[in-house]
Amino acid sequence: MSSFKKEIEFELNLIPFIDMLSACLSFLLLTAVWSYIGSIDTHQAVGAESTSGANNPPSVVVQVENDKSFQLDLKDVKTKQRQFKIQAVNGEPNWDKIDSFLVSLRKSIPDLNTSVVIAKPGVSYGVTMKTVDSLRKAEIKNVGISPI
Amino acid sequence: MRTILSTHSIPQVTTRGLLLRKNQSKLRKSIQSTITLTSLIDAFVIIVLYLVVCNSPSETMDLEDQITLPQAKVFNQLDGSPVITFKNNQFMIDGQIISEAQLNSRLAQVAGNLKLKVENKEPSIILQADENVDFHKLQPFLTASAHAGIKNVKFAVYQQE
Repeated sequence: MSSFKKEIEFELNLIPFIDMLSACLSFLLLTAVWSYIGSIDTHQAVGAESTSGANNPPSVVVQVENDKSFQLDLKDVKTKQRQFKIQAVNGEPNWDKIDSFLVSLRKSIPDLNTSVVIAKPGVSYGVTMKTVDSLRKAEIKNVGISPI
Repeated sequence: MRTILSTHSIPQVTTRGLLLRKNQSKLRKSIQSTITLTSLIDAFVIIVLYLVVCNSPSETMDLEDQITLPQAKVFNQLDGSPVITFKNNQFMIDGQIISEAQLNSRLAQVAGNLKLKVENKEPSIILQADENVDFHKLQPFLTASAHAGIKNVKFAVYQQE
């Protein structure tokens, strides 16, 4: 009876298992990527493509001015007011207002899926990218950047 | 006398030894009972699984020194497209400095190579530049990529927290 008990009550050696898990954990922590890099994808128009005569979809042209203010021009829409300006605050772009404005614009014009960003000389690459990001946050999917 | 001492001392020593052994075994039992490894192993397994899932294989990109990428909330994953870097007012592909005059021909070459590699996919290129750079300095790249027939221009960004 006692020998039978001994056979059942065996001790599992957990130390190699813990060693293996520790090694896995150390390896994964060392090789982990902590800052993710992605990309903002834009679809640029190529010279051979022509839009003359085509039925253009509603679009918004966002012009980033040198003083960090924004000029928005709506094209091919039925609304009366087609120009909007969002002023900078303390020399910095008013991102909260831009974000909320673009979201409300997208809600009022559901077909608005196209946008072009024009950066004036002196506007930084970071501000231009953040503008593209704001447009994409407002679910305006086709965003292009003007090379002019 | 010696025999008397020996007969009396031996059992005393043995009993002391037995007592010591008993105490040791109690001590061992008490130590073993306090360390519960199950919860530790559970935590280890959860952390390992989390790290394995989070570090799923994706394309990576070598980031140049002195470049702080802009941040964005809505972005796509990298897809292994060729990378052009703008650093110290110069464009670079594969570590080679390219002048603005060479940009058109070099990008056309890159686009040609990409079309040969993947026939049905439109060629794309990733730009890596510092967030404080004047955007107008990057415009030769946009113009050259349009000339080279590269429609998909991607801008490298960090994930915004």
